[in-house]
Amino acid sequence: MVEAIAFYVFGGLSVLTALLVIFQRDPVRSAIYLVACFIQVAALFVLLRSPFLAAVQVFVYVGAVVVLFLFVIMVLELKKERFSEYIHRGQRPWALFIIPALIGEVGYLAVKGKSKASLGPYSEEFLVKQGSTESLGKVLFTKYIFPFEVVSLLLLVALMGAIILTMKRGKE
Amino acid sequence: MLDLFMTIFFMIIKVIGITLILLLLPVPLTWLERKVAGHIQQRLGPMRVGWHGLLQPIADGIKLLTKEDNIPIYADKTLFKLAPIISLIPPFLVFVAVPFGEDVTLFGRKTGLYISDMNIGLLYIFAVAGLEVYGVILGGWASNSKYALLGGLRCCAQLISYEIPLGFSVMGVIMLTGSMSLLDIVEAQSQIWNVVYQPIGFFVFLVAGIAEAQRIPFDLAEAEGDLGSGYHTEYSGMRFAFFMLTEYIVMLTVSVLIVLLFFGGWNGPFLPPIVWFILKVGFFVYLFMWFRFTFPRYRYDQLMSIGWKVLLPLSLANILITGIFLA
Amino acid sequence: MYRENWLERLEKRYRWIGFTLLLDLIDGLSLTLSYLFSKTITMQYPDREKWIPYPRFRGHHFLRKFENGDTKCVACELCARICPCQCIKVVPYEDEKGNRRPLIYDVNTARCLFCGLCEDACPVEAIALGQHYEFSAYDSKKLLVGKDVLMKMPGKTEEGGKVVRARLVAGEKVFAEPQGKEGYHWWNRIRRR
Repeated sequence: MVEAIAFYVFGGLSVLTALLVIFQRDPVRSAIYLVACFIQVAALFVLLRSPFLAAVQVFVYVGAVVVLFLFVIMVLELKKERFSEYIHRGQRPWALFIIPALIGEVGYLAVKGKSKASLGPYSEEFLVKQGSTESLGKVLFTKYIFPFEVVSLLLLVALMGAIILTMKRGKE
Repeated sequence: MLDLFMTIFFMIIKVIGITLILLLLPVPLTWLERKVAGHIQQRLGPMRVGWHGLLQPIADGIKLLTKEDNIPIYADKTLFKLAPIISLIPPFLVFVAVPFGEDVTLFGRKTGLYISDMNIGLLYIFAVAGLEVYGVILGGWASNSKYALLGGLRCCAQLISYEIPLGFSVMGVIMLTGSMSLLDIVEAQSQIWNVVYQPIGFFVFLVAGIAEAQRIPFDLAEAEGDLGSGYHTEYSGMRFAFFMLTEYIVMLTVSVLIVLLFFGGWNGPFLPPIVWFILKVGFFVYLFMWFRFTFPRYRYDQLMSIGWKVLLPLSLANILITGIFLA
Repeated sequence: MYRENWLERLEKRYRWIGFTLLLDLIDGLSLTLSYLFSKTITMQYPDREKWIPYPRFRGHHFLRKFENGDTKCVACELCARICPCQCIKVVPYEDEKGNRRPLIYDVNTARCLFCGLCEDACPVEAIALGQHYEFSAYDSKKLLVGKDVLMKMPGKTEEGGKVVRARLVAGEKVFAEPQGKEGYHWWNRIRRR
């Protein structure tokens, strides 16, 4: 009961703030509402008994990604967005088609779709006994070690690419 | 039913208690800082209000309360008002997961000297402490002044850069303990403090912690000389006091974390645990003040190269060495 | 060309050791720690202490008197002439004994620059600049002092230059009242390495 109320509060707030992100014209405010949205989502993760994911959500997205957004917005000095400037003439009729289609798709999936994956051995009692963080770590470093390493390698390549892109050419 | 009621009652008492402590502690800390500053420079510091100037912070508070609350004309007014509050929230949230001691018996009931003993305590602390950037960067942005904006951007880059070595330096402690709960970490240090096993980790944490608390020698975000006190240039009165309060609470947070992670928390012989805890935290708070009045400020490029070229490799090496010894 | 000797080369070569061990930082910290526990040089004026100026100090003006209470001034107006900022106004008259004395002797201490030329110019050593320096006021008109005030002003003391114990008197006039003559020279408290 309490959980359901909490879910609807956090869910509603996250939807509301997500809408505010796109309806704000000032990019700085958009970023702030994005922060609020991320925090609501983190709260939903807590409700799903995954505090580790919630903390990582706050740590990575709120603590780093959006801060970098803000950094870029402030350095580039983006002015308040003018609505018409960024919309091409042909966009609106297409949008009228696509948006209801997407909403319908999401709605259909929410109502009819299979929203529950099988938990496998990770029942609630198991997670409480062992701790969700520990089990996540164990799975990540045993069963899924190969994809994990591939992802880290990918990130490393991206990092090196960024460094090479920003390096000054004329030095050598 | 009564049990649930008592639990909620204790929770409320603890939350109010910690909030009050955190709100009131900066008062003696400002006095202490000014005294330390004075005596290091062969002055006396505040002497006129109260015994040896003890009531000086209260006088300062009255001054800040009654000062004109100035909002620049071209400022973003909502954000300008919001920024000090946003900056004040994260340091309080951090203390939700910080334990001050073991269980005590109160009104015939056992209760812990902490609000919540989280499974992911340390991660939570770092996640919430990372939110501290927002108050500063929004304050700098909303002021619509070049000094404030530059201070905010500097601070933003500094905090993000130093969060990484800060997080990595703790990794060794987590590996030793096998838990991210601060209670477990402190319990594991009942015999030997972590600083013995983790001297490099401690060093990196200390330096990165000073940078996170934006104290000298890493206080570039509020460099009086070149930025006119940075992100709070345009702030006055009580809003400015909020930023100062935040700074002191963050300093306190970093000292508390150092003590919990590397110096055995409340463990210690003879004296009661809480006394040990206060003594250790007090020492680190004093250390921060001592640093402040000894070292000059680093240049911005030096700050970045210390963070990325010295502290980050050191913390990574620390993880590697710890792993080798544990294996 | 300057060539380093072997010791300097050695020091240069192994400088990184001290750098890694943060010896410079520790050196600085130990210095500030020793300062923390050293004696302070703060003079707690006006609450507890007061600095008594030397006799050569040029403070508030005063007029010297004969034993019978008459002023020494002969109203020659030399001080008014020499005064670079024209802050002295003297009007002479002849008193009942037939002496030339000042009827008005006004010094505008708001304009005075305390150069002491009036003291040098005075042929009878009547006007002089004393050691009194606590005479600030809220109203600049109060800084225009007349003959009566100048004659009541304290004269010069024989010794000075020491910091003595004092008490703050905050009445109509605010000043620090010295308690006794025992004191110390403030520059004795400066720490030297």
